[in-house]
Amino acid sequence: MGDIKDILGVPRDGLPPAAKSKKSKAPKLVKPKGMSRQGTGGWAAWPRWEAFALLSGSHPLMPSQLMGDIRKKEGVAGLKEKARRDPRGVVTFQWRKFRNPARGDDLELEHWVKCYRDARGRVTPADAGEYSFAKFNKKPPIMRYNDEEYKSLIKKEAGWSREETDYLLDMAARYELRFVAIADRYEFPGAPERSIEDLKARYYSVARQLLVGREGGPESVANNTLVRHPFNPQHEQKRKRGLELLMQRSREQDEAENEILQRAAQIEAKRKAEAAARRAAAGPSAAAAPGSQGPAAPAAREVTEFTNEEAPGVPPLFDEEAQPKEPEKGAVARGAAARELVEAVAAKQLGKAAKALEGALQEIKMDAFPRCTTRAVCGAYISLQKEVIELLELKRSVQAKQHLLAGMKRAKREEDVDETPRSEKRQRMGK
Amino acid sequence: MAAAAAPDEDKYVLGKQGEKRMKGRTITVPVVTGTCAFYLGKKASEYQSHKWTVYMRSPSNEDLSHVLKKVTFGLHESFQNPKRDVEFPPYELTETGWGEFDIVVTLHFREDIQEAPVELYHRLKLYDDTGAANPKKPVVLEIYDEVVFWQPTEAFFSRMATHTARPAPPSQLAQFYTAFAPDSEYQRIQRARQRLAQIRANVEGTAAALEAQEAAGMYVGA
Repeated sequence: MGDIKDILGVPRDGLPPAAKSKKSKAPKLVKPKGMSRQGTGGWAAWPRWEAFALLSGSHPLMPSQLMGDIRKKEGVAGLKEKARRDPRGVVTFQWRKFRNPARGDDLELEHWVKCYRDARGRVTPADAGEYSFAKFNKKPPIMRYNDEEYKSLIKKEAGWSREETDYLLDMAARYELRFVAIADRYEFPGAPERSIEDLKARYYSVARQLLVGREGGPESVANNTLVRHPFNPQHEQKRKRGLELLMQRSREQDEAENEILQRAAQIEAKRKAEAAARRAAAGPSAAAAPGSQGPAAPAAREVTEFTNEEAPGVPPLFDEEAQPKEPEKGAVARGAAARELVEAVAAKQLGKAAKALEGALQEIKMDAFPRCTTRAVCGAYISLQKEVIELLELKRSVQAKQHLLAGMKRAKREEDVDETPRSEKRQRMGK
Repeated sequence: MAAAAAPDEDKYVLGKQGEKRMKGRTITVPVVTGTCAFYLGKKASEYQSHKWTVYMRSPSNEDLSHVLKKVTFGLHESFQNPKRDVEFPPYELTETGWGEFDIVVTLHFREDIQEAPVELYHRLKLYDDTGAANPKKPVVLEIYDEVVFWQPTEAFFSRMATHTARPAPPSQLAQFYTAFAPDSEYQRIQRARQRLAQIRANVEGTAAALEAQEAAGMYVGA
């Protein structure tokens, strides 16, 4: 009881806390020189400060107030769960001998093995069975022939004696068909220099003949890769030669090629632009006024006309597309209706587009609705508004495309400036 | 000419009250609503600064009584009896006041036209754009419009076919009337449209060139 009062700092028996303070206060630890938090010996000082902080009474270790409550259920239960026994037993490790079946010899080594000790006291290893890495020792199947097969199936090939063929197959088996290694170590007395293609050609032809011969006919094995795609040494040689050329190509050759490609692209572009201009000129303005446009300027489209004539069957009002529209009522005021329409269309434009429309109309001095609202004038003004909107949209899309192209050009230019990986390789190769 | 089985189907449609109407036909009646405001000058007071007249006329000063039964001018509610009817031309109304507001000019048509009245809105303009106020020079605002009768009644249509235009009774305000030039306005708009078409052709040329560039660019970068 008294302890609690002590902890809370409540004075015992009415004594003022001041009288008790000296005793209850922890002895002030003198900080050694240079122990301030900031800017001391820097990195060297860090462990000393943290350790010192542990010593002082100013940061007493306190049990977490909340964590216990939060994880109360999980806490105790968690412990219980962990304590549940593995049916196999207690984990223990043993130093045991083992053999690797993948090896040809009988080498026996020792290693630590994870085991479980069960209730009865006997130990079983965690993974029973053969050495777990033995299964990775895969070897490609090499077909071998006996003398009979050789005589009957294998065609005699120029420069390849029986012994050499045997030697080749031995090497293939030994080096698991890694022809680069085989070619490197190939040494048959009396044989000329064999390239990789030669060795491959001989091996694959032998293998194919054996396969077909054993099956009895080419039909059943027609799907087999050996038969379907026979090895072609010339093709391989060409391919390798091509790769070498590519690798060895100098930077200057590269740049020359790029330049030629660019020039070709420019010529293409010019040709396309001419074709497009020709198409535009030839198409809609076949009836345009002959002398008004110069040959260089792109021909403009014809402008539609409106009359005041009220043709029978043609409604008097206009819609947004400047097409005749029937009025809602039998008697309407044309000018008022046209004004409303124009305002509605302008209102439909959003944000920047609205301002652009206003500005454009002001530029051509057509921002005010015409004063004399005859049929012709209404139709013409509605068309004007429509055409302005279309032109502004076209301009916007052209601008967007310009930006896109500029971005692409910039990106490509940066690409060319940087060192390409190929040139890095060349530098490494000492060229 | 062979007798058509039902010539009426081509020429007529039936209106809401079963009346015969001319299929696909239009009658256009041009009208002008106007206000003419005089600054009272010395006699101006706070609440009576201007004497103004609102009127409705034909731009060619024709008599419109064959179309109109009466014209109603709807004034601001601060006026006594704001709805003022005028049955005979000249369709005019004079008042004094200080404020600018929208006047509703309602055109009531003759019975045989069988159409609901049409409302035109006219803003009473008292002050000049410069702000100057001259008792001798009135501030005039005239607005042109056209009343369009779509598929008019046969009675109206045949009446109009035989009608000869008569001049309207003269008005004191005739000296202040403005003139309208629909043809020159039309030409002005058409010229602007032609300029736009030229600009558009140029922009389309640029667009085509860009397209070609873009296609070529893809080829180079591949």
